[in-house]
Amino acid sequence: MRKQSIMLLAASTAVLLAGCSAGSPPDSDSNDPTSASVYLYQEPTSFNPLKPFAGGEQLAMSLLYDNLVTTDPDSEYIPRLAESWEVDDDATTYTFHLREGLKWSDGEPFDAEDVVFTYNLYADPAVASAQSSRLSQVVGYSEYQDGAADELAGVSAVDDTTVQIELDAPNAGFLSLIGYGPVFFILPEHILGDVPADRIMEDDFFSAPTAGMGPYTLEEYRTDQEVVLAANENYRSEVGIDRLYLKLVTSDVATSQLSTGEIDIVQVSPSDRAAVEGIADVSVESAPSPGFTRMAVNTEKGLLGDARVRQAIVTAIDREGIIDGILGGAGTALNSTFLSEWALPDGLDDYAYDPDRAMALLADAGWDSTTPVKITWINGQRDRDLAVDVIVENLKAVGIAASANPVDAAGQSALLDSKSFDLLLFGGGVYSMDPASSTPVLSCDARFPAGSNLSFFCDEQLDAHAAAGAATSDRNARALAYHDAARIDNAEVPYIWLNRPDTIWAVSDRVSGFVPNGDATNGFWNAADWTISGE
Amino acid sequence: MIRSLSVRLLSSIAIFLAIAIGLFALVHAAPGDPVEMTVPPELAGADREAYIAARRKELGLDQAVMVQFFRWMTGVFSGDLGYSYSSGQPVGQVLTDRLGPTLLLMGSALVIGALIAVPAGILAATKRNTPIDYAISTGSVLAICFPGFFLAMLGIYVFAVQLRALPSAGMVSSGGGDALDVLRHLILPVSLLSLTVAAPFTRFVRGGMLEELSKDYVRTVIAKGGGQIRAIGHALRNTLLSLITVLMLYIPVFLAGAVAVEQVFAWPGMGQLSIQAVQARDYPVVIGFGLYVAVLVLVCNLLADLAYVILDPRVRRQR
Repeated sequence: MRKQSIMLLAASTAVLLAGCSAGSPPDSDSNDPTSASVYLYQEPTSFNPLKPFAGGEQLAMSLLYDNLVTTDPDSEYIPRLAESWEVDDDATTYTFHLREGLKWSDGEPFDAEDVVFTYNLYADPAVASAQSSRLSQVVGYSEYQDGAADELAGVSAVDDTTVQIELDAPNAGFLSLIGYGPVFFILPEHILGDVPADRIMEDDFFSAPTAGMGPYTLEEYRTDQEVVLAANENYRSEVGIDRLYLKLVTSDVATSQLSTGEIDIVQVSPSDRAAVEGIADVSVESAPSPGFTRMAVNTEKGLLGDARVRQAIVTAIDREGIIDGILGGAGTALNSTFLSEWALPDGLDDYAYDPDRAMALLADAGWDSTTPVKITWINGQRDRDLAVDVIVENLKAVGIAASANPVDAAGQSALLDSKSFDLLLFGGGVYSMDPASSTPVLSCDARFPAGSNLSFFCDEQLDAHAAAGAATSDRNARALAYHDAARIDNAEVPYIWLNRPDTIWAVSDRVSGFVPNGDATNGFWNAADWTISGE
Repeated sequence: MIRSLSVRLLSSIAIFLAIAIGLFALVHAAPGDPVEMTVPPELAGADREAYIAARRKELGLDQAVMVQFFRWMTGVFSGDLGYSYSSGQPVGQVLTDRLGPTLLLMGSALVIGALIAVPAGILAATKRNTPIDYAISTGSVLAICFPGFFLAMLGIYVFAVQLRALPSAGMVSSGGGDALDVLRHLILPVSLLSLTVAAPFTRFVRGGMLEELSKDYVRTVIAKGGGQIRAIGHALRNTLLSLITVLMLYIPVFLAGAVAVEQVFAWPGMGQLSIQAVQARDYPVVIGFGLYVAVLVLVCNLLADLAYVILDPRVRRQR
């Protein structure tokens, strides 16, 4: 043991000496490279898009890799590697036209085969990618999964710059599965093509990618400190800042470093907004997030299955008060699971804060005021912790015996598995604005654990309307179908919609070109356009 | 002497084994599943099940606890502490990577703390009941009383935010990393940590010196015309003897203090790692860190014994 300790000590001294001498200051040649420091709220453990999403990794990967399309701050699809795309009338064939003459960051040419290769990786059962099921509607997916086919029949390269994806059934929302935010990054076939599928997940490439299509390349990863990125010389346009440092610090440290000038871009929580607004030379910008904070109601539990009770709960909660008091006004209230304006009809019930109406609804439903109702949530995030306090008081005021039940992630899973929760507060999540992407949290088929419908809610009429909305690419026809679906959703209240919070960014005035994105995981969507002023 | 030290060494190994078993049992009995922690909320249905099953198999968590234990224990004896659940790196490497920054921080703080405590303690003792003594004693009590994180925040506010004289956090500047840059980042956390060392030790040195100075042998030295300086020298030798022992035993306590300081200053060391590992239910890293602290405590205890034997002829003769 002693020998081991001595060896450990010797090794650490060597590490220490190496650490002290490693990494010289950035080139200070005549060109004076520009640099900026950006807060990364979560340390990336790898840069592997095949793995489950983790916000910090998605942000970092969005600088190293690129996808066919992504979304801008208005949640509209914008071209990336695909310059344009077409969807046929019944929304089963998607054709992507790639930009001409693109190169990987290592100088190798990029073409449609890279896309086909990557989509096959995502769907390959031997790879066991966490994103696989997003491609489940692609022609040949089940054959590929069963081993009856050795590739995805529905994804093909028409020529060097055209990729076609065919679906088994119409889905006008397919783009939201593969192009919403930082997902489905394209990987280099010339590097990963020879790696056996069952070993690709742990391939060294993903700890230090040597080729990508993103605006930056990985230069160095200093554990627990920062990820150093250099501008990709082969990027399709000129990259504005030569070097980016993704700082791995806590949010408190990041906020204080904003005021010392050590960090230039930070995503801040609503509760820090006022403090950050007081810092000189820093601008605060925000954008509405595509996800929302809500409570799933266990519709399989007693009277919670009665829509009147759920309507009473949403009416009893002072949602505007929570937005003003806790989020500092940085958020909006919602009354449906569908987010897009065009998918929402006029005349939805706004469930304005009204304790009397709530009490009347409860009385109507025969609610017993001694029935305990626990609000379960993963505690530790200040906005949500405070919101739960307000909700508990609001519910008590109308005669619901509410109490707070903080749990950790594993505790939440256990409650979901056993279907034993009452109200489950959760939020975040990358939910696209496309109404089709609300289906996985509403439809009968998607009831947990089969899908993300955590309320176990089921209404076949709603499902039928949603299916009609996904079966055509005609915007007007889609809108009408989703209006019907939204009316049922609004009346049935499968979720207690609390708010759609804004994502807040604090940006040093020396950085120009930063455009805030409400999707926090896609905050670096236009990183190539950032520049440093005065340098 | 050799016999007694061998007994100590053997008992240390037994204690280490007991700690290892205890740690493993405690960590595995703790609520919270490491695989569930990593399942993203978006993942549902068959993907979720497949992901959980694959991760369990990959991490060996599908095996019975006893099987996991024996596998792990055999690993420990061959120097293999397993792999971090969250980063997939070998635990030994994860710990070694963070040991350097922690040693640098703790080592500098210990040395500087001692360099402050010894002269201050001597000065307070020799100027007993004078304004100098009162000033030093009050200062050290105040430094003990103020919580470390408060002083850290204050330091960051004054020197980093207001004066912009020092970096507020981290070990290197973006793009930096040379010795001078690391030194600048060391100043704030080391000042704070060395204060937490210096404060109690100043009081210890003062007390020890007062006790020794009142002893007969010191009076003899003075009576023989040895002078004040010589008398202090003699008293100091005996005071330092026990100081070294106390210092050794204090190191593990000090490590706990460093955990908080590392967190506040985003110092990439063991402290930050241990907190991250606990939050992420990264069992192998939590246990690895626990074992590291256990070894540190045992080694420090052994060294304290050894130092006493070597430095004090009376103890040497007794044994």
